[in-house]
Amino acid sequence: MTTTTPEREGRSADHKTVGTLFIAVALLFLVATGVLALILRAQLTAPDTDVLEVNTYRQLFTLHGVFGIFLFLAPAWIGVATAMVPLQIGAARLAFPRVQAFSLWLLVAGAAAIVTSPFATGAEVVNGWALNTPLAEGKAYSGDALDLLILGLITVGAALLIAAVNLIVTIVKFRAPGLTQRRSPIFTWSVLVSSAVLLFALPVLMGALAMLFADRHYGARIFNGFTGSGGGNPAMWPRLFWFAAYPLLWALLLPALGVLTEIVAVFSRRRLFSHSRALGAIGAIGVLAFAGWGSELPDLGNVRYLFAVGALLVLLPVASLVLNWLGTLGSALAQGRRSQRGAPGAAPPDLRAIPMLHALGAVTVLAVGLVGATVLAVRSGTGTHRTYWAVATQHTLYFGTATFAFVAALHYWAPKMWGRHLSAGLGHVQFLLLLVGTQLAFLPMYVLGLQHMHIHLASYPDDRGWEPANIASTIGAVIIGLALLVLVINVVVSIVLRYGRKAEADPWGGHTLEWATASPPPPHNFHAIPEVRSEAPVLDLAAAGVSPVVDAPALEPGVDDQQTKADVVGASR
Amino acid sequence: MTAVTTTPPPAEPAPTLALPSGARRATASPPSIPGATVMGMALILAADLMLLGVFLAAFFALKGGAASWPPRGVRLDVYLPTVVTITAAMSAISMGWVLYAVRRHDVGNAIAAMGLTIVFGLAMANLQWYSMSKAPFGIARHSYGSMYDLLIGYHLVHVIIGVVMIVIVGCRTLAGHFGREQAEPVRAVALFWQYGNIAWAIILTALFFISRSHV
Repeated sequence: MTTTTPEREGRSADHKTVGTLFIAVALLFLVATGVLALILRAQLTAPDTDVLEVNTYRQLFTLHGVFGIFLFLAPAWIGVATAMVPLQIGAARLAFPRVQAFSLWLLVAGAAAIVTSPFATGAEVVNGWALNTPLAEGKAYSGDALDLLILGLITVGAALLIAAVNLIVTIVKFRAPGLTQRRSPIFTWSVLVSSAVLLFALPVLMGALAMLFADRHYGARIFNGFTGSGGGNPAMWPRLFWFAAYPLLWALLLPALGVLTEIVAVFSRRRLFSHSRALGAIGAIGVLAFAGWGSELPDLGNVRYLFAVGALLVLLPVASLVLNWLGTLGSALAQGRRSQRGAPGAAPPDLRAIPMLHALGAVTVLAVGLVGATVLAVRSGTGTHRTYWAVATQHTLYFGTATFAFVAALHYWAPKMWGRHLSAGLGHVQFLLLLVGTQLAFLPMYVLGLQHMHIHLASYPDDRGWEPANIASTIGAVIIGLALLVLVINVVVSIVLRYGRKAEADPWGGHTLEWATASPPPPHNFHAIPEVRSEAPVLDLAAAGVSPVVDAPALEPGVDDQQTKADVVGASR
Repeated sequence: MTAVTTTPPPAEPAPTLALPSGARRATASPPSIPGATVMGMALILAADLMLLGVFLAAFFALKGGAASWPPRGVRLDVYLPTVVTITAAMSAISMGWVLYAVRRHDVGNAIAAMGLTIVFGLAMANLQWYSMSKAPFGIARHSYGSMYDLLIGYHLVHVIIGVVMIVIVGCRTLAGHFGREQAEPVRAVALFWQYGNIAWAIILTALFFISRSHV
C-alpha cells in the first residue's frame, strides 16, 4: 500500500514515460503540420484560386514550417532518444531524469505560445519559418503575434538544449562496462553527435531571437535600421538565423540516419559492413553541418563559393553512410542466395519487415534529396534557393527521410518501448501510401523549381504551365495524409488500446543492449547487463547460444517489496 | 522481516540466478556517477558561451558599421564598471573559499563564504541594474545603447541565477549533503559563478575598453 507513492514518483521521471510523451507531442504536431500542408496545397492546386487570402496563406506556411521543424522533428528525435538511449547503453536511467521531464513541459509551454500566436491581436506572422526581414518595422510585422512566436521559439529552444545536454552526459558517463565509444550503438552515437550540434546551434538561434525580441518590444536598434538614425543592421538577421538553422536541420536528420543504419544491419541479419566508418561518417556530418550555412544567403559575394564547398562536403559522409547500408544489404543478399542453394550460412535478410521496408523507402527519398542538395550547394547564394527546388530538397532530405526513419523507429522499437507490436498489416498499407505519396508530392516540386516558381507564392497566373506539377503534388500530399492517418490509427489501436501483438524480449534478433531486457523493460531497465565485447553484444550472446535476458531475481516476498521500492526510487533520482 | 524497517535489508547473495557467462549483477540505480553534474554544467556553459558569442558578433558587426562607436556625445562611465569588476573579483575569491570549506566538510566556513558571495552577488546585481537604468541613453536610442543593455543584462541574469543556486546549495550544505567525496553540486555552482565573472570580463572589454568615448 505504501509502495504506490514512490512508484508514481518513479514513473513520472522514468525516461521511457518521458520519451513516450515527447513522441506523443511529435505525432500530434506531425498531424497538425500535415493538415496545414493540405490546406496550403488546396490553395496551390489550380492557378488563380482564392481558397485563402494572401496573408492567411503566408501565415499558414510560416506555422507549417515552424511546426514541422521545431514541434515535430525535434521532439520526435528527442523522444525516441530519451526512451531508447539509456536502454541501448545499458543504463538504468538518464543522467538527470527530472531535467528531461522539465524539458518536456517546457517544450509544451513553448508549443502553446507558438500555437496561440496566430490568434494574438494586431498582426499576422507572414514571413516564413526563417522570419525573413523586414522584421522590426512595417505594418504587417508589428504586433503581438510575432512576439508570441519568438518567445515560444526561445522556450522550445531552451527545452531542446537541456534535453540535448542531458543526453550527452548520459551517453558519455552512463555507458555499461565494456561499451566503449567505438562500440557505441550507431543510433546512440548519432544522438550524441546531433545533441552536440544542437548545443552549439540552438544558443545562436535563441540569442538572435532574444535580440529580435528586444528590437520589437523595447525598440532596440540591433536589426532595426530602417529609420536611419542610431544604426541597426537588418542584414545580420539571415546570417545569424542560417548559422543556427542550417546545422539544426542536419542535427534533426542525424538520428534518422542512425536508426536507419541500425535497422539495415539488424534486418540484413548481419553486422554492419563497417561499424567504424558509420561512426566516422556520422561524426563528419556533425562537424561539416556548420560548413554550409552561408549557401542560403543571397548577398555574400564570392564567399558563397566557400559555403558551396562546405554544403557539398557535408553530403559526402551521407553518401558514405548509404554505401555502408547497401554494402551490408548486398552481402546479405548474396549470402542468402548461397544458402538457398544449400550452402551453410546466416539467415537471409528480412526485406519484408516493416522497419526494413521503411529503411529502403528512406533510401529512395534520401537519394532524391541528395541530388537536390547537390544542385542547391552548387547554386549557393543564387535565386535557386528561392524557388520550389529548395522546398523540394528540404522536404525530401529532411522531412521525407526523417519521417520514414521516424516511422521505422516506431515500428522497430514499439515492442521495446510499449511491449506491443504495431500492426504489420496496417504498416504495409501505410508504407505503400507513404512511399507513393512522398515521391508524388515532392518530385513535381523539383519540376516547379526548374520552372522558377517562387517559394512564397500564394497564387499564380494561368499562363506559366505550373498547373500539372501542382496537381500531382497535391495528390501526393493527400496520399501522405492518408499514410499519416493509417499510422495514427495503428498507434492508437495497437498501443493505446492494446490490440497489438505482445512482444517478446528480442523479437527482431537485435544487436544492441536494449534487446537484452524484457519488453517493456522494468523501471530500472536491466536486472543484469551482459558483458559487452563488441558493438553487437546481444548478437554475440545469440551466436554463443545464450539467452541475453535475465529474469527478475526471485527474492523472498518481504525483500522483494523493499528491493522493488529501492529500485523504483533509485530510478527516479 | 517486516516491511516497516527503515534501513534496506542487507544485500542477499542472489539465489540460483542463471546469469549468462561473464554477466555481472546490475546495480539497481547508481546514486550518481562522479562528474555527471559538473559535466552537465560545463555543457550548459559551453552553450551559454555561444549565446554570449552571438551577442558579441552582433556587437562587433554594429560597431564595424557605425560611423563612431559609441555615437558622438556618449560619455562612458568609468566608476560603476570598476566597482562591479572589483566586486566580481572578490566574489571569485569567496567562491573559491566556499569550495575549499565544503571539501573539508567545514559547514561553518562554507556557509559564511556562501553568505559573502551572495552579498557580493546582490551588490553586483544592484550596480548593474543601476548602471542600466541611470545610463544617459536608453535601449532604443542607438545601437550602442541596445548592446549596452543586452550585455549588462546578460551579466545581471547570470548573477541572479547564480545567487539562487548558491542559496539552494547553501540549504543543502546546512542539511549536511556535502562532504569530501560528495561536493559536486557545489562545484557545478562554483563553475557557473566563475563563468559569470569571466563573462563580465569579456563584456567589460567590449563595452568599455574597446569602445572609446568621442566627446
